[in-house]
Amino acid sequence: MPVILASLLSATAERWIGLPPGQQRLACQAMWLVAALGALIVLPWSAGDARSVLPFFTLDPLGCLFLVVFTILGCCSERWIRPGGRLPLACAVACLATFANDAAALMVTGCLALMLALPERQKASAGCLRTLLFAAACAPGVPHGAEWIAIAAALACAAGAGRRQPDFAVAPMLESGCGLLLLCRVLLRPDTVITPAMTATLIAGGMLLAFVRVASALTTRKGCIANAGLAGLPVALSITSIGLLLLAGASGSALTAHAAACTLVLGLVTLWPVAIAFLRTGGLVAEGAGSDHLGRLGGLLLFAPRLAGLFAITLLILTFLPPASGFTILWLLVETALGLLPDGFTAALPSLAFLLALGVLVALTGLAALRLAALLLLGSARSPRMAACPDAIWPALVPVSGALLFAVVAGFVPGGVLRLAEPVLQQLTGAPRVTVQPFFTLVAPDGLSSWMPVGVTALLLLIVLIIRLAQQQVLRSRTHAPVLKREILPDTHVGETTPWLGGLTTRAPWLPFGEPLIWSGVDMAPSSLRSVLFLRGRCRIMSRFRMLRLGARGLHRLRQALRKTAPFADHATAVVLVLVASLSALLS
Amino acid sequence: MTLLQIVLSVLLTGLQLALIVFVGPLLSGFRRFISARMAGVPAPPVLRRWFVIGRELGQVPPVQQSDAPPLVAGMITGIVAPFSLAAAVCAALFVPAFTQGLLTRSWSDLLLVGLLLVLARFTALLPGLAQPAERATLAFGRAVALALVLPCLFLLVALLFSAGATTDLASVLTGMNHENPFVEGAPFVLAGAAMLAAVDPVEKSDSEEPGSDGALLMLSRDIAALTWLTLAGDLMWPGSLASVLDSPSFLSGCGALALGVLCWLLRSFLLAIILATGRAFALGDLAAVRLRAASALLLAVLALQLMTAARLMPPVGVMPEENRVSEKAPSVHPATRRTDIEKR
Repeated sequence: MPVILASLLSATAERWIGLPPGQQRLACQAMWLVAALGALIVLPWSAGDARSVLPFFTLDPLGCLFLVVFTILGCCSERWIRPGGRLPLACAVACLATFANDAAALMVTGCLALMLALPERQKASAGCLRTLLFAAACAPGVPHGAEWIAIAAALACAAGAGRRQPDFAVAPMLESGCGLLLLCRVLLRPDTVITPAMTATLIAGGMLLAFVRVASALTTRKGCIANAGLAGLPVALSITSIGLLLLAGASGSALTAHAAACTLVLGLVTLWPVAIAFLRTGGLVAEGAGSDHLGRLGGLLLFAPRLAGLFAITLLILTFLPPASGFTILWLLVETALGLLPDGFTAALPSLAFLLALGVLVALTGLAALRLAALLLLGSARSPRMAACPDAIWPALVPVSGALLFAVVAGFVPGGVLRLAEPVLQQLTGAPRVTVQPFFTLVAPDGLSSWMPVGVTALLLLIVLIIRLAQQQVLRSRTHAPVLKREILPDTHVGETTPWLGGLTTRAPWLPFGEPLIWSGVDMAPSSLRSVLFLRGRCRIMSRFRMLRLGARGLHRLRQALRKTAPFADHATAVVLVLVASLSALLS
Repeated sequence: MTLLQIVLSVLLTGLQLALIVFVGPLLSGFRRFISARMAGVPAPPVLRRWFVIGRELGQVPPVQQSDAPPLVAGMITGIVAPFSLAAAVCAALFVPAFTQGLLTRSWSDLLLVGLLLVLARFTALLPGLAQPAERATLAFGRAVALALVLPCLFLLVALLFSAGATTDLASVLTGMNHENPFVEGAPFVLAGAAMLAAVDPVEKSDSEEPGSDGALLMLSRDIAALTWLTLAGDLMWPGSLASVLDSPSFLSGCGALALGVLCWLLRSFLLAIILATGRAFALGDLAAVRLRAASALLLAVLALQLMTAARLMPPVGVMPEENRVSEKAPSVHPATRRTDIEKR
């Protein structure tokens, strides 16, 4: 009911209802949040007898879980400035897709949601490909055909590029959510046969996708791509956790399978909302700064403290560092991989390689987050437009704050979330409850390791408080004067003469004629990594090899050929349509 | 757990916190002294670091006396410095330094400790990243140096799990308390050596951040370095950890505690000397970073190989011709123990 109300409020013009300006948006966002909370609360009762919502649509635990994600997406897709739009409608259709118990219903609703979230004309071919793969996975075909197409569709949906338009900033998460829903539905069918190749593809594909995402976030010049790169990590890890779940199920380890299912559930409830809020904040930043080029931003902390604060918090959670909920997912993944660790060095090599890849991923994610923070939050404005970046008003930040609050509170009680999601865990693992998780603590499959997010966070905040009080006390005792409260923006205005600066005139944050400060560029991170990882004489040594020279020449020719085919890019949609149609015809 | 044990745990945790805050800058000053001696340049006094931190702690951050635009650098230091120090202190409290039975022992997960230290380091680098290009690139280079060592931490977690079927540091260290470091404990000696690569090297130019927040950042860096050294020392020599709670009498408990503190100081200063002697090698910055990352990875892989080889060997005291599995086998072979836990 709240979803229907939210959709109606979203689609209705403000003059028809007559509420004061902005109140309808707030009501709509509140309805979406209520729907998310309601979906989480009704999870334990969704496993009973089939509750038919509509013909072909039934309430089930997995659908309820995905409903949480799509309702939060709907909340964050509502714009304060421009009401309506097709993305909230796409979220509403995706919410309907979570209830679909029939393949045809899932196909129709999922494809409709994906089509409503189609990107602009230049990238429409990728959107069409995702939609067609989605439809093909729902259609009946040869044995193992649907599973493989579902895996391909999930990976293709998760690889969606970031959107430059602020209206569609969260659209990549909608596509990823649809792909993951399809994958779960297809793999959980009773007649599905899981092969080891599928498991390996899911694990390797998820990790590869995560690496591609984080590499794009490290090297790109576009803010939307960097944001989508970091926000895509939870999606990639969810796909990996499904692979680990299948692997643990195949090896007969019930506790490890339970841990992998917990990773998926907690990732959807605690990390996906943060990724959505991160994308939404990134969209607001790009809108306020007037540019999406990372080299033209900077100093956001000075100009828009609220936006910068929310951006920094979501960025910190997405970096997998403790005590945030990103670390919870990482810890569960590591414990799952350790639970599958066989004896013997040779046999354990795949597990060790997976752990090593996780370590590299965490390291690269940390570097990407530092780069984004340095280019966007720190330093000073690199362009005059950035210096005029306005801060967002609080009502415009309500959806982001709401999603973040929801995720943080759920992340502090992981055991409670898992108790609520017990039917989903049973549906995923196919086994009844093994152990009862404590309310605030997560216990690993070994039974000895544990992780308590709220305890560590409370300890950290307590220590911060003690340090701050001790620092103030020391400063008071040394200087014998009250310590002034530090202000983010001192009370000086442009062109004003201030006595404490020696009578000098303060200037605008961006100096048109003063001595410029040289800030680090967008290539700081890739050049630092390149200088460490590659030897300096590499090019001279490698140019001696004939094969490499030939390869370089071939690549050059390929690039030239691709450049010549650029005018035909508009016809890529048709090419994709023909290709997928022929593929579907071959498979069926 | 009785009330007396809880009180003792609180006291031991407080003692460890006080000692870490005191010894961290001292050890950092000692490393600077030895490094300078090894490099053949005039050495600063050992206690200089402490004096600098104490002096700067009472200084108000300098006010910008120019018409330059307002910069984030001054503001961000005030935000991140307490957070960085808190993360470092948190990690230091989770690692048993000289005794077991701390109040925080249930949270002493190796992955948690390692990533808390990474968090402390990354947040301490943010003021550097807010500076203009030259200093920002330098700060990012330090982040890259730490990030290259980070993957080996995950291998060490696997090693710890292979030994004790858990990633809980306190439990595993309790289990291998009496192992010979050159026989059964050899993989952990290698793991400790790999962990030394994560210790932040002392800067060639003595960079001191001004102001009270700068002092907090310096303290955070010193405590993080000491925690890495403590972690490495714990893995190399777990027998040096005193078990005060299990002591039969008060006097023996005090003696064990004093011995544990002495062993902790001894091993930390010894490891600091080993690290500082690295300055004797004439290596460029990039070469040093590559060497640290590669050696950490190789040592971690070698430790895992040694661990699996040790598992295949028969336990000490069991003749090769005895094929039957003894009663103590589950406690010797971690894999078997893991299976038992799973069955339970």
